[in-house]
Amino acid sequence: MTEAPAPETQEFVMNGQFWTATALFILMYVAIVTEKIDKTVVAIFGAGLVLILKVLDQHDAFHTEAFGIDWNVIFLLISMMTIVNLIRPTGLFEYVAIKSAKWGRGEPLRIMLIFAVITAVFSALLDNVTTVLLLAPVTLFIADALEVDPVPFLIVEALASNIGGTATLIGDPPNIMIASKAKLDFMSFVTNLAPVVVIMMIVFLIVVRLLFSKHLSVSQELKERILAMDERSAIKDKAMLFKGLFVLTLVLIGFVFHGIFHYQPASIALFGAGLLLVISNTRHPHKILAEIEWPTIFFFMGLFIVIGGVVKVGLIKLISAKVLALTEGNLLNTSMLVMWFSAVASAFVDNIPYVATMNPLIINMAHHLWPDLQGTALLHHPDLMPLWWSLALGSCLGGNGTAIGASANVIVVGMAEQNGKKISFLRFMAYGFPIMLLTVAISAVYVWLRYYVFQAL
Amino acid sequence: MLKKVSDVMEPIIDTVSPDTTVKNAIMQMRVATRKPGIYGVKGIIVLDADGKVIGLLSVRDILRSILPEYMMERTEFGSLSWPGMFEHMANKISEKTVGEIMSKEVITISPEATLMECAVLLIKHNLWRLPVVTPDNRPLGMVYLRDLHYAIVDSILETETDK
Repeated sequence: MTEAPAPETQEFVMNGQFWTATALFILMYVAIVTEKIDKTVVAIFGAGLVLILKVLDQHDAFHTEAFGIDWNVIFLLISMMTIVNLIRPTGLFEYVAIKSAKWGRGEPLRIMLIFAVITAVFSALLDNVTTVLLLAPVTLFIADALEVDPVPFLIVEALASNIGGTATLIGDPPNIMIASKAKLDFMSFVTNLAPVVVIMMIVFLIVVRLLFSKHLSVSQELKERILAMDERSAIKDKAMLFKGLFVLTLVLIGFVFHGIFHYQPASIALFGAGLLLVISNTRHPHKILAEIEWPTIFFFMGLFIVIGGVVKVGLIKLISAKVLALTEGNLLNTSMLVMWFSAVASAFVDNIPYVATMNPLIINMAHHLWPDLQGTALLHHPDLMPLWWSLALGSCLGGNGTAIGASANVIVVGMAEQNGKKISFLRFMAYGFPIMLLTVAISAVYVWLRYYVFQAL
Repeated sequence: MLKKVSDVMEPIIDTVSPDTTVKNAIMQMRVATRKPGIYGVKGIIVLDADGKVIGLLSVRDILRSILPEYMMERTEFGSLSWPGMFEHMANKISEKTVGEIMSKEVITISPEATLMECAVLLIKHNLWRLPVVTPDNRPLGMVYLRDLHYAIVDSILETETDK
C-alpha cells in the first residue's frame, strides 16, 4: 500500500470559500433528498459549480486523492459492470435460479429461502443492483407458475441482497468507497465482515421461515409446473458462459490476493474486464459499454468533487471534532454512534453520498486522535478499525430500512409495479425496518465483542 | 387525380369503450363490420364518452398483454415456460378492461393528408392501420396497409394503360 499524503485541509477559517463550499454541499443534499431534480444531474452541476466558483481548482478535483474523484471506485465499478454485462446474456443467472427452484422441489417456502441465499451470495460477489435485476424477473416467473403473490419473495430478495452485499469489498458501493479511502483490502473485508454477515443471514432465514411458513403452500399440480421446466434451455451461449466464469473466477482469486501482491482492486477488475472483452471476440464494444450505468458513474464523480470542496475548506474537520467531543473521544461510543446513525441515515438518504461524506470525516477524526501518525499507520490504527467496520455495517444494512434505502429495493419495487404488483412504502418498511434493526443490533453486539471485549483481553 | 387519405380510407362502423372487458371486446371484434357484408376486424378504435379517439386495440395489443412484463426485461428467458403457461396467461386477461391493455399513444392522420405521408407513418411505426381523425380527434375512418397497396396497384396499372 502506498503512503497517502496527509489531507491538506486548510487551516480552518470561515471565509467566503468556506461558506460557498458548505452551501453547495447542503444544496446538493437537499436536491438529492427531495428528488425534484435527478441526482446525477445534481451531482454534475454541483461539481461544475465547485470548480467555477474556485472552491477547488481542476487539479484538486481530477488529480488529488484527498479532494478529488476517487478513480479506484470509478474503475472498479466500470470494470465489474462490463464483466457482468458480458456474462448476463449467457443465461447463467436464469439457469441457477431455475435449477434451485427445482432443487426446492417447487415448494414456495423452500424456494424463497434458497433464493434468499443465492441472492446474498451473488450480491457479495457482484453488485446488489445487478443481482436483483437478474433474479427478480425469474422470481416473478416462478411466482406466476406457482400462482402465489411474488411480493414477499421480492422483498426477501432485496433484503438478502443488502445483507449479502455487506460481506465483501465489492458487494456494496459503501464498501467499495470505504476500501478505497481507508486502503483496506478484499480479505480484510471478508475476515471482518463476512462472519457477522453469515450470522445475520442465518437469523434472517429463520425469521423468514417463521413469517411465511403458514401462508405458503401450493398444490402438487402447481409444483409440477416448476419441475417440468428445463433449466438448460435458459443457457444461450455456452462458450461465452465458460469464458465469463473463467474470468470471474480469475478476478475473484485476484481480489483474494490483491493485498499480498500490492494491486488495487480496480487494477484487478480492469484487467478482468479487458481480458473478457478480448476473449469474447466482441466486435461491438460500444453496445457492451453503453450498458454500463453511466448515470451512477457520473453521480459518483460529481459527488466526489462536491465533497472534496467541503473537505478542503475544513467543514468536515469541524464536524469530526464535534463528533469526538460528543462521544468524549471514547471509541466504543463513537463506533456505536457511527453504526446506528449510519443505519438510520442510510434508510432514508442514499448511502452513497452519506459514505462519501463519512469517509473523510473518519479520517479527520483519526488526525485529531493521533496527530503524529500518517498514511496507513494512521488509517489502519487498531483503534480506528472498528469505526470503518461500523460505518460499513451501518450504511449497508441501513439500506434495508425503507423502500428507498438501497438501489436494490428501488429496483424490486419498480419491477413489481411494472408487473402489476404495487409494493407500498409502508408494506416494504413493515418487513425492512424490523430486519434492519435486527441486523444492526447483531452487528453492534459483534463489533462490541470482537473489537472491544476480546481485543482487550 | 391525386388521391388523399380520405379517398382510400375505409369507414369505421364499430368502436369500443375503454371500460369494456377484454373478453367482450374480443367477442365484439369477431362480429364487427369491416365493410357491409364483411365481418371480423383485427383492430378496433377506442372512444371516450365524448366520442374522441383515446386508444386502439389490435390483436397485437392483446397478444402483448398476455406476455408478462418480466419476460420483456433484460433477463434472457430462452425457451423457459411451463406446460399450459400460454393458456393460463390468456385466461388471466379476460376480465381486464380495454383501457388497461390498449395502445394509448395512437398515431392518427388527417383526411387531407397525402398518401406519401400516410405511407411514411405506416412504415416508420410498423403499423397495419391508421385512424383518420378530425382536428379534435373524432374518428372519420381507417386507412389500412392494404388500402395503400391497392393505391400502388392502381397507379402501376394506370401508367401501363396510359402507354
